[in-house]
Amino acid sequence: MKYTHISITGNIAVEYDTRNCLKNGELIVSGLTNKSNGCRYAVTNNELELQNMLNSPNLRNIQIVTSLVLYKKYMFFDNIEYVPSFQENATLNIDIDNCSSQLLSLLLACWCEYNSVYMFGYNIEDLKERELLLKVAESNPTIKIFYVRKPNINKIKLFDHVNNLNVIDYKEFTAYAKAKK
Amino acid sequence: MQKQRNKEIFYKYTITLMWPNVARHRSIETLQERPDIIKDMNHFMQKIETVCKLILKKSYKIDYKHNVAGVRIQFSSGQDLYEFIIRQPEFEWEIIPKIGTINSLNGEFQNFDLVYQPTGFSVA
Repeated sequence: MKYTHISITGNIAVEYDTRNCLKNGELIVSGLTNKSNGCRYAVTNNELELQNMLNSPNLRNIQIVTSLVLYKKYMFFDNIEYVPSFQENATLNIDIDNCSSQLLSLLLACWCEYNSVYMFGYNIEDLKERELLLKVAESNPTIKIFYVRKPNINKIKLFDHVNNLNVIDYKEFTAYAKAKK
Repeated sequence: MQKQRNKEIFYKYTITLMWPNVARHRSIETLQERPDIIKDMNHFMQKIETVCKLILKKSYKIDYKHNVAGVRIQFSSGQDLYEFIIRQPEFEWEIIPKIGTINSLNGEFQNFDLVYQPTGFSVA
């Protein structure tokens, strides 16, 4: 079966059952903030977090993706891998070693070239993170990116000017997941 | 143990073990004229096979094609590779200080330098 979307969980704890994401797509988790059951990749560029992830029994059979610098240090662990070189990074100038793990997950998700990327628990309150998210979305115009949030009557208009960046809530994603079954 | 039949095994790590001193950088012509060196090389290969069988827990592959630089060995497990490198003095052999790895995400092969330090080694 060919998947059409990929989901990522960011740096904020997600109050949603991410198993729904796995029904018809793949999942990338950032760090250890959220549950990693069934995910394809677990991403971090923080050394302490990486050490905890390598020792976590839940991640024993999951590929842990990290920066090249950390990969060189921990390459003898079987389930570790380094991030590929992202084409768009040539223009975005993102420091892979020091950026947030949620941004690294987003870059990896875009690199996987799925039609759509769903972001859960993505921190957009940090202005720098928000700015980089907009840049990534603009540099990947063929990928539809969805910021998935808790149901809230207040609308977010932050992304209205970006064609491929949309906001949906958990209910809408659940409906989408059911429809795709 | 060495499992060559299973095509599913992903040999992620590669290293090259140098030939014994007497056999290093010898041309094919020289080797043809010196059966004593060939004997040493065969003995060396047998030793590698035996040691690999003894110390490696997961799949590995020894490249039997002649290579002037040495004997190429591929490992599926990083822990096995670590064990192989750390136990060099015990088996009196020398590894070319490079570790090749294949990135399972994009299939890219990359060589890293193996740097020996008084307390062990690191990868640069």
